[in-house]
Amino acid sequence: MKIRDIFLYSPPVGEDEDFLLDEPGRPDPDYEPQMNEGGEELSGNYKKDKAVLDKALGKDLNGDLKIREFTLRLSGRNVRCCAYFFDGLVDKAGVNDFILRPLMLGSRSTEISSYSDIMNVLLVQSEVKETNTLGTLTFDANFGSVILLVEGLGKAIAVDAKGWKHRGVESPEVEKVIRGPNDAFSEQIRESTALIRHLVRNKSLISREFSVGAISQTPVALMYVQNVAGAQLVREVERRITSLNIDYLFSSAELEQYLEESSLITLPQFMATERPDRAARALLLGRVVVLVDGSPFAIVMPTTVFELNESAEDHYLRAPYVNMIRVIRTMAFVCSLLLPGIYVAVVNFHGEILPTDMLISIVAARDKVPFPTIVEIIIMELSLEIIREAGARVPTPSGTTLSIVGALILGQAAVSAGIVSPILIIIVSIAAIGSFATPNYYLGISARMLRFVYIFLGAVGGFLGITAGAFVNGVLWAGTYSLGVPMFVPVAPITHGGVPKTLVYPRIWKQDFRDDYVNPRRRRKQGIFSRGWKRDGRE
Amino acid sequence: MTGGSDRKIGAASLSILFFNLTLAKYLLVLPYFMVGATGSAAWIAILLKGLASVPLFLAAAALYRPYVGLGLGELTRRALGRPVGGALDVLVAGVMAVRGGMLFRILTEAMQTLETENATMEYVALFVLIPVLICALRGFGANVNASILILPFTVLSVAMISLALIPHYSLSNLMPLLGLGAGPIIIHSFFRLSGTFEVLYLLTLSPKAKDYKTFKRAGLIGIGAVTAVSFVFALVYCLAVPYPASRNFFFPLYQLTRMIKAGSFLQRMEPTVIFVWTGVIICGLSTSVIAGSCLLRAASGAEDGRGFMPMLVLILFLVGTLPASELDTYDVYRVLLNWSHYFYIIFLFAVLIAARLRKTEGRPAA
Amino acid sequence: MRKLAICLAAALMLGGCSHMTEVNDKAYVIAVGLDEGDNGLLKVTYLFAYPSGGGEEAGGEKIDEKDMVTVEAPSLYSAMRLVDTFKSKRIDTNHTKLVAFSQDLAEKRGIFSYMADLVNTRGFRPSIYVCVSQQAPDRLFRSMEPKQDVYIEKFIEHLFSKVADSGTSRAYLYNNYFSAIADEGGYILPLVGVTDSDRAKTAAEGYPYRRPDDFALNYTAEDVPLIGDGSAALCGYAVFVGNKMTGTMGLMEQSIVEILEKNMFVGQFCVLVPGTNKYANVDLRQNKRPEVTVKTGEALEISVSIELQGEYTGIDGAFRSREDYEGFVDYLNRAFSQKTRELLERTRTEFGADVLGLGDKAKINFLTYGDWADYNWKERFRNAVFNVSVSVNMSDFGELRFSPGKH
Repeated sequence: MKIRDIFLYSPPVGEDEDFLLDEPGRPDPDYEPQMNEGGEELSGNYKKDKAVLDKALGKDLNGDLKIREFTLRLSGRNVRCCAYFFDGLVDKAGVNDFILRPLMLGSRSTEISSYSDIMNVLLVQSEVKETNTLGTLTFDANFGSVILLVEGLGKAIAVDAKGWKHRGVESPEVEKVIRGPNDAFSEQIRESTALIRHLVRNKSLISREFSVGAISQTPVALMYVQNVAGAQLVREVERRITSLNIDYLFSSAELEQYLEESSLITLPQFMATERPDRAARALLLGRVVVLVDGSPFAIVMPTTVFELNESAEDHYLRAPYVNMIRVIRTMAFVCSLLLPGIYVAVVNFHGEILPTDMLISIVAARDKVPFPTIVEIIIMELSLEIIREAGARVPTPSGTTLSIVGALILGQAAVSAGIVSPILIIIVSIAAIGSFATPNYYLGISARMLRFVYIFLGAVGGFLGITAGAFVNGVLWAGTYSLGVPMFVPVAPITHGGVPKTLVYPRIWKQDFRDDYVNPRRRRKQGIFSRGWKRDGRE
Repeated sequence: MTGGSDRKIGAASLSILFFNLTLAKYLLVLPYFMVGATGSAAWIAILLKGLASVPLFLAAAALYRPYVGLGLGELTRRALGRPVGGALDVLVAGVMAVRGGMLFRILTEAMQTLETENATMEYVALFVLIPVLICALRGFGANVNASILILPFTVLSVAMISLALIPHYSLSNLMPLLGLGAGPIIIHSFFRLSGTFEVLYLLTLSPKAKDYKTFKRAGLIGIGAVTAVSFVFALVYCLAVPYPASRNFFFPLYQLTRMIKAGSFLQRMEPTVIFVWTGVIICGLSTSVIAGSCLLRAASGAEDGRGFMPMLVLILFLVGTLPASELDTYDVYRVLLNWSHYFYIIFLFAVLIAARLRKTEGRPAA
Repeated sequence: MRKLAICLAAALMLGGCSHMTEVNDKAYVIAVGLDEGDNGLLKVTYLFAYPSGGGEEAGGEKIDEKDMVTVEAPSLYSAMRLVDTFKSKRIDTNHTKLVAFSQDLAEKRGIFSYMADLVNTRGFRPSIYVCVSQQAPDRLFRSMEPKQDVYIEKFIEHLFSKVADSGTSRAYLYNNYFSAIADEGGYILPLVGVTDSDRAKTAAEGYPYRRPDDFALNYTAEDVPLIGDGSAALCGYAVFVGNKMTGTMGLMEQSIVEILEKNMFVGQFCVLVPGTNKYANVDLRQNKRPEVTVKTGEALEISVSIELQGEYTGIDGAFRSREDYEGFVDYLNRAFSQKTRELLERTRTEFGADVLGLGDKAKINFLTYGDWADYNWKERFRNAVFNVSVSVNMSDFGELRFSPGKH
């Protein structure tokens, strides 16, 4: 290194691995409410129809679409048949026993002579319908039916075989809500994709499957809604996943780290969720969801800081409540990030801003404490972190001991021993509780970590130090990209109509558009008059 | 990681950047000078000053129209030739650094008053110039983002100060209406167009704007917003502090926050102003550094301007240490404010007219 | 490169640590008293906050001791250095609530330079209270007895907030500083004194023939007839002309000043009904700001029009007829007019300066500051003519009360 390099530092130019989404396009004014096209019909020609169904159900794209071709015997000749179903949505044993077995074996042991016998004799199912309409077929397929295409029948048969695991699967551990559904993803990737498919129920939901890891061959599903998610986004995720050159992959948390852009920035760049409803909503808003076999968390990408600050329940609450809760949550995050730092700054540099009475009680309390505030607060923060870390892995029976000991250390005993002052305990506890109130786990950890930086800056530079830290923090965070989308969008940079929406959560019937920064294919997500019953439309 | 810096930005973001750049000056120093020059009519003078810079900006923008993608530095070099244009670019970058240095010095003085008497230059530099450097190196996008994130706090703090001072307002403080007379008002609004300097910045950074329309809109919104906020602030200052006394305070913003009595909740408000104050200045300084590096890049023909940034920041610091005292800083700054704009106007229009006459190509070469 | 930068930053940061001070390593000044000392020195008294020590019992019991230091020094700053030698902790003036100038100092040396010092010192807030103390400040501080409040600083805060509620009030440092710089030539400061039971008795004996009514009671702080031990009282104003204190205003005049500023906080008056020896208690309120119009012609003419609204709280059988009521209201109008006029004329003739800041209202008649300066307000005020009209609107019993200012 030369001295010259310090002052004439030249960063490398032209990093072509940078991925950046295009500028958001103009919103699409047309709104077509029906996405399952109803018009198209099957022709009756087996080969053509098969090609049509292959395409409609996304044979090449969807990894969970299963196609079983076989023959059945009708009037002494072999008739080609084909069964389509989505793995995970149907009850596989039922499909084997009551659809495939009768058709393949039963048709050979029982004499059947006409096509109507297939329905009347072979398919021992309660709900069977014949139809030619492609829309109905794709809908049924996405809703747990097996679609049977029989050569010469002229129609397709939809046999109900619903068999997804529902409720009682598991309820979410991390993202608990009161008003929303209580399903959670499981470690089985098939179950998880089925949970999403069950919610979206649309043929344009695509689930591409890859296997990642040269040795482990872990199945990874990349899900998106074809008519909604921007093609560029999907291509980029696919490129990143397929480019991975690793031996093994066990969880989505690992995958997240392989896919993110900046690994050192404390801000998490993707959102992990264990809730199918949340993942489904993200999909319909134009995001991409990635599931990894063996991991009950889906990764939602791209995401923004403001989404990280959303809880799973926000969409189930009425707008006024959400706004109030969001303000509180933001305050909690800011407290957990800055409060100890600000306390140190105030006590060491800006004692004058406190009301005199409060100052005097702080002085009175601190007079017995031998350490400077910075040492005092670091002792407290460290012991809190240790207790938290211990609490995460202590066996349940010892849990009570830990909480008693913890309460003693962090509370009465520390004060009585004159090691810390009582007000400090309040500050540290508020900060700790604040980081629990942060909905995103990673964001919470990030606040816990940066808190120490702010404590240091507050001790060294007072408010000036904290400001400098906050500024650098803001610059670094705002310069972070989540899959080519700036993390602070739509506020920094400003996008079309994004700022008011971020400041005040709009009422549900006003949420007409998808966020333009993910470049969705459909901008509008509900009609201008989303509430048809209101005679004058909007208000 | 630096992908964002090449993104073109829209009118709203660009005008916020302009706003932040100008606000530091308008809020921190201008009211003091204006009250000194025009008495209780400082608010009128600031309003007129803002209005007066609109035609100037429009004229410059109209002449500049074909060169929006080019940037002022590149244009100067192309229009006046490598040696002359390059030298001028370096000169303007130097002036920017001097101005930034003065602003930095004023901030340092403010910190010594606000935070602790022992705050040395190096100490403030540590917390101001390092963020400036980081912000500048992260690129233009980061700078714009930072400006946007600071904006609500700035507006909030000005609003908070104006509201908290309501009990201190007295209409009679605005009287006599024309302060020290119409003459000083006209001189200090129409003949001291310090806004030219920010126009210069805007022209330098224009390649980041989407197109001419965006650029023009950003300029107008920015000038409007800055004028509005600084007008409100000057009015608040004039309303709350009567004239002969208002001349005596170096930092009107500081003085006003000192006057706020927030009951028993916060004994003093002034340390909270540090947040906004420093943020605005860091943002403004890093914009200067970016603009300066753009000019130097144009002058040197280098591929990337970021190499110049550490040097510019160092110059900023060194210039800041030059004035011997607070008063000197103000005097230097006052001279800069009062007279340098003639240089800018001549430079600006000379370049633009030369470019027009020589029919310089508008599109960037690459 | 990166490592070097981090090392550099760390080294610089360590330099920053040097000027941090723990909040409990400072001694907080609550009040400062300035008095005239010997040989041209200044006698400066510092009253310190007295934290009661110990976590749980903090804020519990009252502290009777006062931590006070008085030194003689050439200036406020050098006094700080001297006091520093007595205190184990570093002195911090950021929480100062009150600066009291002694009357001696104010009369003999003037206070402007001290106020300017205070305004320009970072440690003193512009919104601290200033007052003139009729006794030496150390005596004043000693006799401040927080009974309703736990701490002395709260006592001061509460005591002065009564006169400091409005922006034009006279209690804040910056208001006084502004007025001292302004062109009116005079201003008034709150007056604080330690009441002495003996003195109070003699003051009351000044009215030997009959029980005085409130119009006659024009006490200054130290004359307030307190029964029992001496205690600090806030009553009346100290009048400053130019730099020096030249006189005082008493309780009644204080009420008039408050009315002129629409800042009356106690509106109860006990008035001797003319022609009887009975008293009527009236409760007065101000709904409308007094109209002050200034005609700045050759002769300066200042018109003050005050509207008050009130009701009887006790009449002690003083009125027998409708006429009695009306006559009494007339009397109130006349009495208030007369008191206001007396006050204004007193400022004109006795003090010779516009201590109430009426000049503010005159500025609107001028377009530029030069014109205003040329008018020479200070000189012209000495020949000013006052027109005072007061209308007291008493609501009769059973009569619907209306607001005279609002209809």
